[in-house]
Amino acid sequence: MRRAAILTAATTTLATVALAGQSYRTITEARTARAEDSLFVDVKFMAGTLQLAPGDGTSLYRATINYNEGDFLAFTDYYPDKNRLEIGLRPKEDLVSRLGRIKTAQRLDLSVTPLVPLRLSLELGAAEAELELGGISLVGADIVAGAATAHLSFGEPNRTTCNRLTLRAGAAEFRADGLANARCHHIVFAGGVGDVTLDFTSRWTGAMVHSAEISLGLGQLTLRLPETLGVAIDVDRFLVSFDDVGFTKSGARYVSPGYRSATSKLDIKLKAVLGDIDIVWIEP
Amino acid sequence: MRNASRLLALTVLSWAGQPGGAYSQTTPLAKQASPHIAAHSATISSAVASLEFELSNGDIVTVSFTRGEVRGERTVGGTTTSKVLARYDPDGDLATAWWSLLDQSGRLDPTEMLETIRRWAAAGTASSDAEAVANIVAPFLVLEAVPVAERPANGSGPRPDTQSSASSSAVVRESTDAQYSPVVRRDRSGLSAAASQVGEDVIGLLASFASLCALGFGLVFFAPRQLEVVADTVRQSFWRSFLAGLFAQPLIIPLLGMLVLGLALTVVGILVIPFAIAAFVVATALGVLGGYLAVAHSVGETYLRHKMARGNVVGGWLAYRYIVYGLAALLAIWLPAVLFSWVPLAGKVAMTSAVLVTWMLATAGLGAAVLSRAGIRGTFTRQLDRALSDEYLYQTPAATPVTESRDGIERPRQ
Repeated sequence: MRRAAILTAATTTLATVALAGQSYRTITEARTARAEDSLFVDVKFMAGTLQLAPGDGTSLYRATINYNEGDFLAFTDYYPDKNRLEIGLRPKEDLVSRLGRIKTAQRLDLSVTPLVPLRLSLELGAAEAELELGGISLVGADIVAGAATAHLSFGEPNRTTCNRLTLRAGAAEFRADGLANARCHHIVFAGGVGDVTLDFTSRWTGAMVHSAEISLGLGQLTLRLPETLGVAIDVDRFLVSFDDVGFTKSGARYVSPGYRSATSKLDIKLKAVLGDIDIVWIEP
Repeated sequence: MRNASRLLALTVLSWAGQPGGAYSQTTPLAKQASPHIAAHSATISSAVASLEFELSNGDIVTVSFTRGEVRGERTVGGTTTSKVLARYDPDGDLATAWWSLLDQSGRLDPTEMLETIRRWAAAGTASSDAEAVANIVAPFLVLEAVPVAERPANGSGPRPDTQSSASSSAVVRESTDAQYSPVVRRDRSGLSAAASQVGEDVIGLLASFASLCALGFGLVFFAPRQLEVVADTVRQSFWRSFLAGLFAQPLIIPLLGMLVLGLALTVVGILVIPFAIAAFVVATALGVLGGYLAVAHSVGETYLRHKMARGNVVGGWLAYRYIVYGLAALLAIWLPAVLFSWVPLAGKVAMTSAVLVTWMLATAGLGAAVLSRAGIRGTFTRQLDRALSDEYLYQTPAATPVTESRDGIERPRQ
């Protein structure tokens, strides 16, 4: 009993000392929007929680970073000549030796103006990310989620059209909602291991063919497709169960019934090894 | 009160009159040309609280509270000048008020932040720290906000250009706010789709079988002795091999790191690092794959020996047969996974089982390869005792075949 009490006291003391050693710093930054014709935002966030959302338009961007200054370095560099913002958080030493200490209350809240055409590059480490890109003027994005839990959503239609949206996830839980609102011509998703949901609902506009390349190593992929959209899927799979409900098969191609007559079409190339692919049809 | 206001005005004028203060001009003409704030940044921790304004011409104005001292800095054209503006008590009202002020900075744009500082300064002139407040805010009060004409109006900019095409699109009859709900559709393709999926998976499995057979034949041809030793090790010491493989797996990456580090330390070895990495990867792949094939060899051998022991005839090319039979047995584990992958629960159970069993066998194979030093040492193979076993008689042809000569006398063949 006494031994247990001593052990408990020692553990508590050690934990207190360890927590006391963590000093947090907050950096806030805001930049007035002027007459920028474009904005490139490069985010590298290695640990913590990231929230990205559209701003109100008065600032070009606004950021708040709360981080453990003992272990991490925060950076916010804006290059006015290139209209480029580099922002994020990186560990001072190698990440592997810090793995036990990165579960902290670190946080980056970033909002970007919806009024300037935006090109986004986002790299996540062991982080949780909530990314709302709806309503901004997104012309292209490259999002890499390492061992992250990421939720990307387009709650409002993109203000402009986007050429390419690239999403890459390592060992991650990844969900992308309202991809139709992204208004991207080409969507690429490459996943390693994980649980992935790609939701292609919301507002499909224009008589055009959109394309998507999806590859998944091991895991569960759920595709949420609106019934009104013409969908064709080329599947290349090994030991993957594919729920082809709602499709008619033609060779290696699965085609939705209204594909030929649909105004908006989505052509998907799908590669998967070991796992499940589920299709969920969504009616308006 | 009046004295404090005068103090503030005087302090501002003294800051504005400093060299490098491009914003010291007060005539309307000069005002048009003067830079205005472009960005602000605040840093807050338990020890430091600093506020920085960046101007449109690249100049920077900073005020920071640290170690009981309030320091003001101006960076003009890359040259920084600094001076102490005031002193503060870390537990005092001034420090508390400054930290609270900076807490708001995340919610404000630069213009709003500047306005907030002005309000804070006006309130501060009534406090007991009036002189300190006046000194602290002086560097900021000479700054100019973004002219109203240049500010983007909220909601301006590119509008979503979705309306024009909306009417022509059949798909966009849905409202953006429409609530979507998942619907369950009747399976239109039925069993044919499942059969097609199973067919594809079976073909994949057969292709894997053929590939592994080819690799196994290569091993039998080029390293028969090593393959047999590893296979024997698996058969005789399965759990020992499994544990060895289990412990070896997490060591693979550190071992590679040590190899690279060791070579790097020798300086000369840096040149061979790429080759060493390639060799290590090949050796690891051979260890895992060769181990798995050795397990297959062992399984095939066990099966065929039992068959022979029952008196059944087994053809030649035994070592190759071991591989084929063994691989067929090992890959048969995947058959339920392939055949029932479309069945909701059973498919997952079969798949998980197959993955687990295959991993276990591959781990044992790797462990056997480690224990036998890639088939060089037979420490854990069976030790044949001729006095107790008749295994040495298996398939061994008669040492001296007897033939009958024309004269009817049996003689050993020469």
